[in-house]
Amino acid sequence: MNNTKVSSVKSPRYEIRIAGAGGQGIILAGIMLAEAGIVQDLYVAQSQSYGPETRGGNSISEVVLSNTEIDFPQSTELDMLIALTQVACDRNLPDMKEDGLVIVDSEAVQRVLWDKSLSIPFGEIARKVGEERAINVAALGSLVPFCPLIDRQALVKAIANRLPSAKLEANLQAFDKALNFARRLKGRLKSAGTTEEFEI
Amino acid sequence: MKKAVRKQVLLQGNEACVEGALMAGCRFYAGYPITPATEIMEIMARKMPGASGVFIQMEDEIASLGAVIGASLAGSKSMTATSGPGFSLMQEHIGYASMAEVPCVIVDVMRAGPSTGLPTQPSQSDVMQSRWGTHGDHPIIVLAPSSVYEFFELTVQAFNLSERYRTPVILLVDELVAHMREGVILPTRDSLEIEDRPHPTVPPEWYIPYADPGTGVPAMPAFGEGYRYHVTGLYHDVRGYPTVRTDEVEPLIHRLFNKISKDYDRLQWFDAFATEDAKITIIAYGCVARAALRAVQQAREKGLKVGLINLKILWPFMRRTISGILENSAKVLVPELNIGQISREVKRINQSRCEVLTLNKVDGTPIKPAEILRTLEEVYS
Repeated sequence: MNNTKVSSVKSPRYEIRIAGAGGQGIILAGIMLAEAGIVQDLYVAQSQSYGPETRGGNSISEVVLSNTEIDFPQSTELDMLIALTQVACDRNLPDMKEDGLVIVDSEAVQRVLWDKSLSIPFGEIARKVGEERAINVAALGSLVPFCPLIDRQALVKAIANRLPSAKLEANLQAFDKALNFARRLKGRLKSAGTTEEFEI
Repeated sequence: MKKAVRKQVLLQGNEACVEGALMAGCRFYAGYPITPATEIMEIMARKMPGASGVFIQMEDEIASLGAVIGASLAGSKSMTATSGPGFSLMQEHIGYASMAEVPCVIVDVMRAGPSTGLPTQPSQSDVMQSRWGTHGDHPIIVLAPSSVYEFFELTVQAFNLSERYRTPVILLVDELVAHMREGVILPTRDSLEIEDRPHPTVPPEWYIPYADPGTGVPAMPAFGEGYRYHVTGLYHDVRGYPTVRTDEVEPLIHRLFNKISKDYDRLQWFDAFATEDAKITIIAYGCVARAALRAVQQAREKGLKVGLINLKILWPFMRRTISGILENSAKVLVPELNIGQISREVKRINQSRCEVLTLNKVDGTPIKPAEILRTLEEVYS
């Protein structure tokens, strides 16, 4: 078949991991994020890891986004970790890139042993919009101000493609609330990733 | 994968497999659900009726492959998908399909075994089972994709090969490739080359079911077309009836092997990356080849002359290709998610020309690029 020569140096890739418990919609969140990447015509790879049980247990979903073809489809050093349980936060910190960002659910995660981190009340936001299960979509909202490759519109489109229309409005409310929350907190982070401004 | 005018879609490996099967003309699926292969069955259940095909959930994996063989004899391109425990149950029928020369495609999304093992985590520990799982001397073709697109592509090829040679073809896939999602641009049906089993050119009354037309692959009508013949797992004569005559038994088993081995030079499917001047060449397949690709690029940036061969066909083992690698490299590294299955085969054909190193991981997690890079740095001299 083909014999490729070594060409370019390291491809710029952005690695995001969403971690939580089985049943929280972690994998669906990863799929929607990857589909947002497709909307923006990026190269994407999404993978997951979970135990044999359907509820509970640790669940992670990863998305690698890149402008060039992706060689290894899983994370090597995380640019961003979104953790929805304390165990998820503790277990995944060793996989972080040195200046990576950790975003946690403030209700579920009390202790974050990482400097560059944000705490956002995803659970509270989801309850406020009347859709407790919107916690995963809220989590996606929080990454928009920080991920240089994904914009809000692409993500909204991807979410709309995957969710039943009856649930969409509440989910998008949760999404935007978390997004605004994250944007406000962004100023407090010293070395946040992007300078791009987003229309809300 | 090229970016083109056609828009890419996000597909899971198992979804891509179904797309490939349908495009190749598969119209019969029988199976029994099992993690991590279940999505293939779920999507088949949804799509088969719309494609004028048949989907059946069977009582177990033994019956599943039995139904697949029956449907194939009746003229449908047929497949099933399973994982380790179900693959074990299918072994007897794989031998039957091999002996009776019934085209069929079996997907084994591997989990770590033995027994029910680790259902949700990646492994490559069925390599030897896919070769020798069923008893007796028999030829087999086993393909191993390393990306979502390749899972699509090799599924199409699995059907082509099974039709061309009238043999069972196994797609051996790890959980990572089966469950991950990547953006792919699927080709159109018209742009694909689709092969069908050779059909008899003679009328039914002249038909001799297992006569060798010179290619080693007898013509195969569908049951119900008017061609009557006997199908058995026993050694049989050219008319399909059981025989113990030495002058019929030996030619049959030789023909079964030769129909595939005569084409070994066509069955060297691999991707080579930076192998021309490589002092160390990695031989990998499945998700491990993806980790190796990154490790090789990182090693090259550090000035290490290393390369990668990504195997697409595991069996028949690509002796010709691998021999060339062993002659031209000082060392070969075989990373695998098992205790050393393909490395065993590499060592077998090596004949001390080259140092064969292994990197085996069996803790249920994939091999990471950093682990391969570390090994390369340790052994590079």
